Amino acid sequence: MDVIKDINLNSLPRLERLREIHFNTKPEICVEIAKLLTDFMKKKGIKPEDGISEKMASERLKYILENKKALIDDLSLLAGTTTTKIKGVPIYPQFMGQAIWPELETISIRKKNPFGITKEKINVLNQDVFPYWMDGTIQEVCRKDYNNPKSLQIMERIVFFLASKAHAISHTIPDYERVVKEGLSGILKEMEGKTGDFYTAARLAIDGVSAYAQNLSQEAENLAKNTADSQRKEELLNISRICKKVPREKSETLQEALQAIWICHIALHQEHTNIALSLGRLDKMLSPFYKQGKEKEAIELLGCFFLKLADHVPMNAETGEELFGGSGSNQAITIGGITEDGNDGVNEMTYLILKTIELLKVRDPNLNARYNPDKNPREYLKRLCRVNINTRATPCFHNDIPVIEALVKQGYSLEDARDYAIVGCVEPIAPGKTFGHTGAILLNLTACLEMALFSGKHRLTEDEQFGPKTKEPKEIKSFDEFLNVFKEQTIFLIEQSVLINNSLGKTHLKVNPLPFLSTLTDGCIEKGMDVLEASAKYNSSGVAIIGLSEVVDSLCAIKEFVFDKRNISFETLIDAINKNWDGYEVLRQKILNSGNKFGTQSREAFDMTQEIICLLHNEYQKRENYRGGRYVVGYWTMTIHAGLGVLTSALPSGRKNKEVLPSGITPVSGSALELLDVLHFVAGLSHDKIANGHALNLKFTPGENMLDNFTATIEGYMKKGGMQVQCNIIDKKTLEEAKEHPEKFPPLLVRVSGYTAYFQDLNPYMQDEIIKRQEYGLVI
Amino acid sequence: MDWLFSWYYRIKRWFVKRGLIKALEAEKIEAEFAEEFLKILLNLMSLSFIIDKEYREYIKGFTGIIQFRSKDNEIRVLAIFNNGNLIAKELKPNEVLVKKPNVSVVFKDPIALINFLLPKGGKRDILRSLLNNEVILKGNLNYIYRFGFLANHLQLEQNFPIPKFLYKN
Repeated sequence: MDVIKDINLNSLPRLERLREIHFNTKPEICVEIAKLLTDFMKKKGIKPEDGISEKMASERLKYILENKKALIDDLSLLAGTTTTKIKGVPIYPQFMGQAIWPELETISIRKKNPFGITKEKINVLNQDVFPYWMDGTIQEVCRKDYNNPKSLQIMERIVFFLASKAHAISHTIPDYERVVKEGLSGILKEMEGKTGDFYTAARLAIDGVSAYAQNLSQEAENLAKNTADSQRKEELLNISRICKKVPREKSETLQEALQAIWICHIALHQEHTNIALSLGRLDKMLSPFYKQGKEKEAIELLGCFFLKLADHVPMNAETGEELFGGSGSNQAITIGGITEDGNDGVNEMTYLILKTIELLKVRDPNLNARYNPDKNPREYLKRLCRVNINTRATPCFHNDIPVIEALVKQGYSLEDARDYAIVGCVEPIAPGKTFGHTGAILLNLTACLEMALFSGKHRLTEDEQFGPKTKEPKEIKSFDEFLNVFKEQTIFLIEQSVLINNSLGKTHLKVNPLPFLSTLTDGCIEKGMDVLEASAKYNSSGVAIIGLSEVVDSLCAIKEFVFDKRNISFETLIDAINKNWDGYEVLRQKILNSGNKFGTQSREAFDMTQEIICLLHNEYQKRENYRGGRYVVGYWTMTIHAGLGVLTSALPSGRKNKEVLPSGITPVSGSALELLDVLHFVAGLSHDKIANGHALNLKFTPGENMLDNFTATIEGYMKKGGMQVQCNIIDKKTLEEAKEHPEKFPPLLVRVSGYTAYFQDLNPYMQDEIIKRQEYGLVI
Repeated sequence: MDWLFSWYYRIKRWFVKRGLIKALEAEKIEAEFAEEFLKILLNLMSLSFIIDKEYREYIKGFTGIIQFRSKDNEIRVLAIFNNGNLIAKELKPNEVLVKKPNVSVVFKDPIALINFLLPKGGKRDILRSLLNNEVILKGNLNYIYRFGFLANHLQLEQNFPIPKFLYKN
């Protein structure tokens, strides 16, 4: 594979041009799905709030796919688009599409990440689509069916937790491997002789997908007829032939395999919002189609595919940009690691994918590299590190050993655990076998601490009593007593988050069953049930915890200064944080300089972290999700740690009002200065209790000779048991300049907390968070 | 066509000016002003629906009740939409509603209400008001999103001059 070293974008003019188009195109709102969906419902006389049967949901999907515009752009080797725009923002009125209703007339001029929209499209949404769904969105149907439950009311205050099902459920990986190996006809064959609504629905869904593929085939043929360029004519005729065949039939070439996956991916977009709908182990899946000596052709096809994946942007209302801003759809692809039988799974396709990502430097797809220190070659790790240095931010590294152990403890067979792939940010599941909705709940742990400090109230929501009325700090006599109060408040929020997630899950099944995703998830066909019921082989729901290190540092400070050393009373500490440390700077400095911090050598901080991780794991695992599965806990935060930080007042850790919260499982910036300490600390945690993955964000100063040290650092961390790490290789000065003069820089790829984003697209809080992240040096 | 509507724009401006001058004179927004302002805005909206055909189209077939109320329940105003019409109704203390509103906007103080109704630069972002804990929404959020569009449209059309001091918080 040495030959790929010499391949660059200049030698791939098609990719170079497509990449240019990608970066120069502003996203535009597309109403295609919204309009087709609404038209179907109106024609059938179905009120969304009354729910829809599996069969009708399939008919609806088929209608959308049959009527969706079959679009083929001028250059790509793959046909089909998720929207009608070059870079579209699809609107899903059954989810949270209405959130942009108020700003429809200003969204094109908003400061951060504006979306283009025409007057005509505004009218379609304002008068035709949105009014029809007023009472029929997942959130509103849930509110009505469950009588506006307390858990929903708490969630709507945003600062405590979010249950994302009202917005999306697609944090999962469909069985694309089966699509390329057998084609959809393989699935139809499995259903032969089976009767009932589910099977009728599944067949209808597949018919819809096939109809869309045929429309693409026809369009390619039409375009070929009108093309004077002989090379493009040939390409279009080939596209036409391929779309006539796949995804219905099995794939036999790399282009067929990628086209088959892409058409199915588009079809799933029509059924559901795409938030982290991920692709699985792409190198394993595509390896059989790679032909020796065809590296350049393979990279060109992979490049076309990756740029297709980036052809849409999720809808976010303006303030939503503060919480989740700058993200693409966060579609993860996974490479490397071991095979189901435990052997080295790195192959030629692994390196081709890496090369393509290195050339394109796009935020979507989100590349996740598995590494098994015992089985994968060191050269592979070195290559991963080089790509990370060259792209500044990708791939992210996952250690097979702790991940597989964690999954086996969750009930996975060893083979399925070994076959894991990453969803969204960092969450491991068995592709095509798990329905995990890994981003179901985002719990703000600092809110639990707030409620412990203020007897069940939060300073943002002032005098409203949300949690149990626990003892006031002045009445608390020991740290253990306070820790119990913290646990009580945490358990309360856990319970509430589970209640609303389960209610939303059931509502989802009523309002928006997922017949096509069900056909691509192992277990559903066998049981004849939708994936939203207990039909997948593995059923789980994922939780992401925000603010772990901030809470650990705060608890350590309370223990040390209030109860162990008795330097101050609890009341004084509360007064200090209520005054944002004004008048308490000496105390604040003492606390900030204490050695008991997350990510240091402090035994106390380590034990405290372990205790919290155990608490969260045990409490969530005790509770069943609506599909009878388990809740798994992880520590990753997307950009929400920045948004929630703005809502959070000063904390006992020494943190001041509105400062961003730490990302993922990363120490508070500036509190853990030694890289080795951080790596030891995080590597030593109980990863079997972190089955939903974690994001350790590190920032390194770039340097010419850093490759060997960087590789050794990652290798050492993995050998020590580290589960995951992701690195930005960029210095503070560059980031500060990019913030000040974004126009002077190309889109800078950065790791946020799980996904990659363009630095210039992030909100200012998030930009500051990345700028302020502790920077470590690796060059000797 | 502008000449035909000039009187209408004049009335609208008069309504707004009246409210704003009061606010400016007060240097502080009192609860009574908030209530007054809310009624002015709703009446203005209502008037616009009568006069402006395109605007009226936006609420064709729309039936729903939005309640605006202060935390202490001192101020309670209903916006009643009924298939192309809007009626603003002030509620008396302890008045019991026959029909429940689809959504209630509970505002913390008068400034929060103004920020919510007339956000800076017309950039209406309901999530922002929620995050700032300026308002609490109780009920179906889509009714508020729809109201947000209607208010935003009105504000953009008229380029409402909002005094700077309203944004000092």
